[in-house]
Amino acid sequence: MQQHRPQVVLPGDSLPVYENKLKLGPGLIQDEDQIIAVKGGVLKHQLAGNKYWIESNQRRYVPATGDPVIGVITQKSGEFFRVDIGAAHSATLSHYAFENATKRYRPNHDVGTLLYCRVSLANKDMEPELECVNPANGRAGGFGELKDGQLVKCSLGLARRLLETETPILKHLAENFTFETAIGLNGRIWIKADTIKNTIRIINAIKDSEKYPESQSRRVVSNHLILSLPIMITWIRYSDQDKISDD
Amino acid sequence: MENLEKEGKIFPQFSSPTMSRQELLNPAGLRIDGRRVTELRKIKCKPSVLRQADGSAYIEQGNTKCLAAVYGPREPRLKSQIIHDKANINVELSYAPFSTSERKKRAKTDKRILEIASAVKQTFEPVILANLFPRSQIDIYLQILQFDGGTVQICINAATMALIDAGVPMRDYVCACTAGYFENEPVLDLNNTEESSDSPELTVAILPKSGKVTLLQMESRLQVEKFESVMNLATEGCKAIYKILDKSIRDNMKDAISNTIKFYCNVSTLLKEAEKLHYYDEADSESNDEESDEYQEFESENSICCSEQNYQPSSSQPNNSNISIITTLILIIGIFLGIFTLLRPNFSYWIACLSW
Repeated sequence: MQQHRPQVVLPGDSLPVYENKLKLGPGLIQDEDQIIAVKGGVLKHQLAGNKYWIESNQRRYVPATGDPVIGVITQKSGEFFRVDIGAAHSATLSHYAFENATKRYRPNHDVGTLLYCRVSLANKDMEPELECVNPANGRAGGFGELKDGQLVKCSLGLARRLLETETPILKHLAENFTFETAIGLNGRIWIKADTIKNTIRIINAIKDSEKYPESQSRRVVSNHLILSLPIMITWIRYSDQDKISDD
Repeated sequence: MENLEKEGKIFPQFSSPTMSRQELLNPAGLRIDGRRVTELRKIKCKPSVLRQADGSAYIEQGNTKCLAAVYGPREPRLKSQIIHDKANINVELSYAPFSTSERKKRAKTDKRILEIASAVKQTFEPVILANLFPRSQIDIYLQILQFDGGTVQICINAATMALIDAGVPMRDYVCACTAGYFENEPVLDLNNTEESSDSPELTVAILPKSGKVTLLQMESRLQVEKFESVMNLATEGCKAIYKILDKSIRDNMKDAISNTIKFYCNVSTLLKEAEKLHYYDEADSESNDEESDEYQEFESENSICCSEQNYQPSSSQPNNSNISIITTLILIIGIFLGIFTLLRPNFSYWIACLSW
């Protein structure tokens, strides 16, 4: 469905596109009779609907409808939560946009709570709106509060890669660790493993995976397994000393 | 006197009025720093140098060095800065206290600095698609780390790179360059000594693809007949700078995407794309005749780039990682046991360790 032809474009590059009917996505504008790129990144094309857009690896998130994001509650008011999702403006989240929420039963989240939600409305002239529920069936479907665990920031490109269906790095991590994760397209990753040590290892492996091609992801994971061994051994040594001094 | 001049014993430059203090152009046609008249200073640039900023760049033009950081589009600090239909572009410029030969701290409210900052702001306003981000703010922070003339041009060039790195939508690059006029010749890219002489200096910023001018600045007088030649020279300089910036940014971006493409991605199409962009070094592609070779080539290329990033390749191969993990484990334990026994000759301690 999608052409795999990575073509790098930078601002000002005009595109060799001559079809009459096409749809332009983020990063492309029409300037008189030609189409020019306004962002640096990889040009993508989808044959269905003849869509063109630019995928760039930036750090600042620009909300788009349907994106799963991780936000932090910054304010609580009568009807809404105000949630920071790392975009230019903070988003609003209605109290009723949770599973099983009614006028009587309201979700009780404090300021500072982490939430995994979906962008339900994104418009440049309005504040983005979020929801933690699938409006079609009223189920949470994985959205909602994220308890414990650790939140890390990454580039938007890495978050997008991790959300793709077959991500080798997450597959290899799952072979070695037991963990729960939520990935927001706003460049935030939440991870909760069985121990804090493993959480740190997983975070380091994921952060490292950005620097290497996907073909090496197995190596990245195994690297973190090996590197952690000396630390374990020194830990054993120190705990031994404690024991001896007790004796 | 005239006879001597004709014989070439006295150079006419010495008698010219502008030459009272310093010789800007020697008889061989070379300038103070040894450049020719139409020669740019050496440019080094690198995008994405700061981790915290949304976009950043570092650029050196000769001895002038500048660091740029872009934040945004983000929420404006003050309500009064909100523009309801477009983003507010905020430019802040500062000189490091150690940037000039005379160490001094300059106030941020220095009128001269504010003027340059507003010139940079006005340069970018028509280029950035600010209407895509209403009620938000784009901050551009510029820091001159070392000063040797051409503040406006280096600020614009650094800001362009940082904005592209941040992914802020722009119609085109903006490239700036200076040109002056002395000894009856237009001169490109003035340094501090040349700037501080009485000669006129013109700063030009253009959009290199369309050739539109977004900034034209001159603070002294120049005869109209001579203006065009100076303007043309500065424009040529801008285009040369554009090529350097473009190559640097493209290389940086290609490094980034080469990691994201999947292993099964056809490498030959990638190489073709790279050739199309005219920046691919042909020497590398000669050995790529067979598909299988290309895979190896691709692998080795990546491992090179890894070693640059302080990647410590383990002894294991990715294919049989499980076996190699065990071998390295045994190796490491062996080494540690050795160190233990050496450090601790006390045998009873060692037994205690083992029993634990």
